[in-house]
Amino acid sequence: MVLQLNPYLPYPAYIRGIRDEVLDKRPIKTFTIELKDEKLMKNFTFKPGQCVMVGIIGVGEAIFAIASPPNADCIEISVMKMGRVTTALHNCNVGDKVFVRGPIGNGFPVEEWEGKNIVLIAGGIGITPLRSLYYYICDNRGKYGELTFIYGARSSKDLCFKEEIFEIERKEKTCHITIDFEEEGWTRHVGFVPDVLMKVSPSPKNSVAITCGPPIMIRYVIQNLHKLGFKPSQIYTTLEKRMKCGIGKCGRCNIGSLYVCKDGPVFSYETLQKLPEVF
Amino acid sequence: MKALDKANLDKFVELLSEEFNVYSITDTDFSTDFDNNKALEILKPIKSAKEIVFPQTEPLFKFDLVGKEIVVNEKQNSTNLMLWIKPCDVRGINILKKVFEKDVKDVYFANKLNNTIFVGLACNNPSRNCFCTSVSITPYYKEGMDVFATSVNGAIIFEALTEKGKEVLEKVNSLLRDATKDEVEKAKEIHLQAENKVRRYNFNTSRLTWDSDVWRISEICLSCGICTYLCPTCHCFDIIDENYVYEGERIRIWDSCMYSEYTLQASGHNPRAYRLQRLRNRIMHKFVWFKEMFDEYACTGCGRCVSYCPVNISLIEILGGV
Repeated sequence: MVLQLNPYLPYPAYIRGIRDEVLDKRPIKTFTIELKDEKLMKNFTFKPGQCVMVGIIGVGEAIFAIASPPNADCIEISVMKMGRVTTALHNCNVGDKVFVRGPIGNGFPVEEWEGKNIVLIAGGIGITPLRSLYYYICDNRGKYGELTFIYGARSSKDLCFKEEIFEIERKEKTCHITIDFEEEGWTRHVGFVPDVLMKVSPSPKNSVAITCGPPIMIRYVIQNLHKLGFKPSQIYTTLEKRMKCGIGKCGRCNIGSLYVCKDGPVFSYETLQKLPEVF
Repeated sequence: MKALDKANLDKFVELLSEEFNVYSITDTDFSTDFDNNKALEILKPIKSAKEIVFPQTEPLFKFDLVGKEIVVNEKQNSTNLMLWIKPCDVRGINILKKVFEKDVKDVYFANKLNNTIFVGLACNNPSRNCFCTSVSITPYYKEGMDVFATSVNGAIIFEALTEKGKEVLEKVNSLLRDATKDEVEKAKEIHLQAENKVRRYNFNTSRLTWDSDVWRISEICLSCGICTYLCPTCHCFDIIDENYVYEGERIRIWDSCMYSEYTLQASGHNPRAYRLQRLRNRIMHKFVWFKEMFDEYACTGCGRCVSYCPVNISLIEILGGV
C-alpha cells in the first residue's frame, strides 16, 4: 500500500474492540482498529512484521507492531501501558477515534523463507509481530517446513494471547511455553527463553529462527542460536526504537546508517552483527 | 552577465520587495528586517538559513479536540527570496533536500523549497573558523542557487542560473547594466583569492571509528545542543501535539541528538544515554554514515559549531585537522 501524498497525515480510524491480555502492574490490552474508510481498509495491505503509527488527537503517536495476520479485516495491536500515548490508549473505550499511519517498515522476508523450517522465539509482548507471522504461515502451510514455537513470559499472568497460545500448543507438536519462575499448578517449562531454546534445541538445518522480545532476551537467544549452529543469515529479529516520523527523516531511530523505521524493524543478524550498538 | 551599481542597492531591494518576501542577512539570522548595506558585508548570521525551508516549529495540521477531527488547511505560501545567502548555507539546504526527498517525499519541506528563490553571494572574506574547502565546496559554490552574485568593488555582478533566477533579474532589469569585462575578470580573481583564504585541513575521517579515543572529547560536552541548532545540515525533529482549549495543532519542532531524552523509550531503555554515545553518533552520522548513504559529508564547513560551542569542542580537531 502506498502512503498518502502527505506522509504525516494519518487515516481516521476507530477502536472496534478491546481485549485485556494482562492485568496488574504492567497491563497489556489488544486493540482491534478499523479504518473509517472501508475502501482504504480493504486496501490496507501489509506484511507480517510491519508496524503502524497509532495516534490519539491531542496526545501524540506511537509505533506498534501489527499483531493481526495480513488477511484480517482489521488491524490489531497489543499495547503495554507505559508512556503517554499507551496510557491514553488504555483509557480508550470501544468506538473511540484513533488515527493510523502506515504500514511502516520492511516486514519479514516471508517469500525468502519458503521451503524452510521456521523457529519462532518470543518473549513477553514481543510475541505480537510473531503472532502475525504465525497466522501467515498457517495460511500458507504448504510453503513452509516444520514449525517450532517458543514463547515465554515473566509469569503465567504475563502471557499474552493466552487462549490462542494454548490453542497453538494443542495444534502444533513443537510449541513450548515457559515462565521465568515456578508457579503452583504450572506444568510446562520453567526458565528463561534462551535456556528453553537450548532444551528444545531446534536443528539449524534448512531453518530460519525469528526472535522478538526484550533486548536482553534477544541478545542471549542469538548467542544460543549460534551455539546450536545457526548462521547469522539464518537469524532474524525485529527491533524497536523511539520513533516519531516513521519515514526515516526525524533521525532518532538510527543504528549506524540504517533507520529502524524504514530499513527495519526486521533485520537479519548478518546485517546487525556489522552494526554498532544495536540495542 | 549583469551588474548593479551599489548606489542603486536600496532601489534594488525595494523593487524585489514588491514581489517577494525578501529575507537577508542580519547579525543573528535571516530576516525581512535587514540593513541593505550591512547585509552585503556580514559574512554569515549566527543561525543558518535552514529555518526558511525547515522552520524550527512548523504546524503539520490542526485538529478539533472536541470532535477529534483533523483539519487540514491548505495555506498559500508567498514566495520568499533569500538575498545574499552564502554558498555554505545553500549547500546546507542541498543536503537537507537529499534527506527530505529520499524514498518518501516530505511535502512540507518540498513546498517551502519550491516557494523560495536563492540569490546567493560569493563569499569574499571567509572567517578563521571557515573550512568549506576541506569538505569539498568553495566560497563560490553555486549549486542550488537561482542567481549567483559577486560583490566587485562598487558593483555587484549577477549570473542567472535557473529560469526562476532569470525572472528575478528581469524584475530589476531597469537598475541593471551589462557587466564590464574587467568586472567579470575581477570577480574570478576574488573567487580564487577567497578560496585561498579559507584554511584547508587534511581531514582524516578514517580515525572516526567506533572505539576511537577521539570521542573522549565528549567529557566536556554540555549536551546543550547549540551545534545542532546552528548546523545548516542537522535535520532531526520531534512531532508533538500542542493543545489549546477546543483545538490543537500537531507540530514538528527541531530536536537535537545531543539530548538524552531524544532516544529515550517509554520503557526507560535509552540506546544513547551517554554523552559519548551521542557525540559519536552525531559526528559519525555526518562524516561516515551520511557518506555511505549519499556519498558526501553532511557538513558545509560553515564553522558555526566551532565558533559557538560554549566549551570549545572543535569539529576541526575531532576530524584531525589540527
